[in-house]
Amino acid sequence: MKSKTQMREIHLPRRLLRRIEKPARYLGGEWNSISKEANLADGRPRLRFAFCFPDIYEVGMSNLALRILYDLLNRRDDQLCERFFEPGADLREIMIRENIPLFSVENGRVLKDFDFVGFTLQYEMSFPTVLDMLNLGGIPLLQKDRGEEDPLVVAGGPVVFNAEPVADFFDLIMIGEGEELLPEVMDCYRKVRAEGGYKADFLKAAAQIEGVYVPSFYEAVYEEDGRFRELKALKDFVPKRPVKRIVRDLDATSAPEKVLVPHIEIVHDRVFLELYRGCGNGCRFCQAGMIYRPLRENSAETLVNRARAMLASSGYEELGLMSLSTGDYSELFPLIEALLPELEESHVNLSLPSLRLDSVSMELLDRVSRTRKAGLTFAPEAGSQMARDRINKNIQESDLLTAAREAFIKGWDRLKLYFMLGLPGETDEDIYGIADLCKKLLSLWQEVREESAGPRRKLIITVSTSFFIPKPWTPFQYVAQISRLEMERRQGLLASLLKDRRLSYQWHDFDTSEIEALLARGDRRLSRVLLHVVEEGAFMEGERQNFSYERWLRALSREGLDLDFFAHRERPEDENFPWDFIETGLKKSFLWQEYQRGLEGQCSPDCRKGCRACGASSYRAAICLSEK
Amino acid sequence: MDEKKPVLILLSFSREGAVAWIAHLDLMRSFERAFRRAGLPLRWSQGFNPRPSLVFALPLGVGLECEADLLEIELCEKIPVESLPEKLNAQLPPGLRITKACLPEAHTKSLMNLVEEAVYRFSARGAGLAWKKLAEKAEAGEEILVERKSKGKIRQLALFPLILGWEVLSDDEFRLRVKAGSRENLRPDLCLQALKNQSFISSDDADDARIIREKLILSEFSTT
Repeated sequence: MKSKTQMREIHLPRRLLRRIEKPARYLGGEWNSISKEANLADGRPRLRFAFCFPDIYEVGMSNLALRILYDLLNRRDDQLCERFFEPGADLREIMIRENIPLFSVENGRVLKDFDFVGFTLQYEMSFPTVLDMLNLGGIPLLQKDRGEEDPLVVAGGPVVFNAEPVADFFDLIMIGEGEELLPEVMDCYRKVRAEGGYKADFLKAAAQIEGVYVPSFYEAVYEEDGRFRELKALKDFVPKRPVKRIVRDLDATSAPEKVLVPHIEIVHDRVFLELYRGCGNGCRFCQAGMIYRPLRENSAETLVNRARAMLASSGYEELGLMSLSTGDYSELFPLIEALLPELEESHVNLSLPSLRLDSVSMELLDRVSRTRKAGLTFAPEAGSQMARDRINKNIQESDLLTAAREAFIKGWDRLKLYFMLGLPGETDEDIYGIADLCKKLLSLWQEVREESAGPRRKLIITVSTSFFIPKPWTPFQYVAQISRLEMERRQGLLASLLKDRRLSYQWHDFDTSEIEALLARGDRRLSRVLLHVVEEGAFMEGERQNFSYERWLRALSREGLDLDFFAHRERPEDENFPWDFIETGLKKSFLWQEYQRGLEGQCSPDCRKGCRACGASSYRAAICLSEK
Repeated sequence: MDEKKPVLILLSFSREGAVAWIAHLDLMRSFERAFRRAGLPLRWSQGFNPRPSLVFALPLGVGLECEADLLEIELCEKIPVESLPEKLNAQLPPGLRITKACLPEAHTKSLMNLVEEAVYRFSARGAGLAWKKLAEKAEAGEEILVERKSKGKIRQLALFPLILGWEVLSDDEFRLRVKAGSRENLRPDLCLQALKNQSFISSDDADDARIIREKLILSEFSTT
């Protein structure tokens, strides 16, 4: 475990820059980006962390974890953190042809010269891209094939709450929030290296840190019928169950004040203000709402100060409120009241994420948007009341229509509605329910139009559906995804019901939905499947033109595995899941009970209104300790 | 809306390095954000989507560096201009510098319509020698045509009528004074295209060329 004294640097010649799209993606020099010498003044190497986001620059730069951890790692003078993204298809082809290794945005430094190669795993479909980046970096994919000279390849992010499909590739996985965990891992590395230790010594020491999971210290055992039985610890020094880390007091953690300002437009080109973590709603399909429990809020006072600092340091013209359900933030109105005058004064827009169509949201919109009445986005998720009750999306149709009426009166005339198809218990009635809801909205618009004078544009409703994907750590983790044929039929049914000039229907591919379902609840045997698809050329599979369904089927059959087994099989209550062994606080019995309540169409209250004893109270956050 | 008369400020700026590889709109946004960070009292347009007013004399193409391009901004109050370059440079990303700030002379036309000529310096392996050959051909009466894409169509364009003067600086470097602005404008990459077409320079060398816009020449007032 030694850092190289020299770090190689790649500088793309002008002729290449002239032949690729958006060359600024690869050149760094963005405001607030941080560039350090490889070594300290006394010649000692800095600890080098490569922050890798398995997608293109514009997507990765829009990620909150990147912004937080980049700032955090670079705060220490004896550490450096540089960013790596998947290159665009044009540059990727050139790099392969001309043998140019993957290089950092900051200084063109080569991936292989870093001590840590850290990936943030935000969505399952990015797995092939992770391997593509390692390939481009010239780093052996499998953990067992890497030597002392190779970097440690580590991961974090929401997807690692079931990291088994990628377990063979990583030396170490960090489960939960990184603000405290990552510095502890870095300290551990420094200590072992100072003692002249080897990788194995570091992994052994790191495995003792709460939140660290070292996959190679465990072996997966399967039942005869192919179902997963358990992860067996191979060493006596490792914990039986790795434990999720969270930041208990958000106000007390250091959020970045210096926001990276890219030269080119990125997907979410604004300052993010993170209102809270976790979520109290308990939607039964939602993984983020479960794994980031318990709910923890920042105070409005802290947020106002952070917003000021971030806007002043970046010069950004937009501030975005971020959290899983913005309308539920308890200090929302005090926050808005405090921020708005300053934002208006300095011509900064406030942007809101997708909202629930309810009265709180309408009041919020009323205050925020004075002029622009472009589009409103809402996610009822399911079409009928029964279906919404099954998923615990606590919205009543009457609330929805009241809010819509208010929106129409105020001049909004572009609505985007998100729904999921294939939710457990879904019947054709629920699909008719989506169409009915749209028709009710259309006639409501007509009413409002007749009541009020003045010229108006036409109402346009965009309906967007995706297929439900059962995710680990949710009450629906037991559910069989509906078959491909059935997906096709239900989507076709909805399309036939939405034939109206005022309605536009957009849908997601069901091919990728199936593969996402495979990877979400997969086990360690999928590491080899991933190797096969990448060998056959898979990368950036989230993009339609790159995705090949057949390639996945071929890879599965090479390993003797079956898509239906992973994606389309209902799991019994007593089945052991590959992710069970992580300690997240959530009790499996809670998840099962919630599933049963869902099937019966029973709603469960929000955390703030009534505790359902999910188990997250073991983290002793304020919400769990307060009297209700 | 600010009732007061706007205060116009003319900035002269240079760009090189990474920031030379961004498109015009991105450059505009970079300046806007730097002005916000510096706390300039920008004057905002009225209406739906208020914007500060930034007028560039001539857009910079992707990959093009410059030493003294011009940008005019509108403020809502007077500020001391002498200290402005220092104040702004502290907020600009590496590669972008404000070299001069002044209150512009009164001009009737917009800044964009004042641009008449631009001076470019090209450096690439063998570029100086190649240009000499091309210019000699042109002087011998041969028409040098280049292709320019505009509105999806490819058009033939005679190069030399747009060139007002040239100078070979070394084997690898030459300088051109060309017509520029909103009426007639020669894009500098077309000069390299001509060299490639004649095989006076290899495609790789031409694409590796560094192109620097040294200055802009305006009709109504001098900026030097």
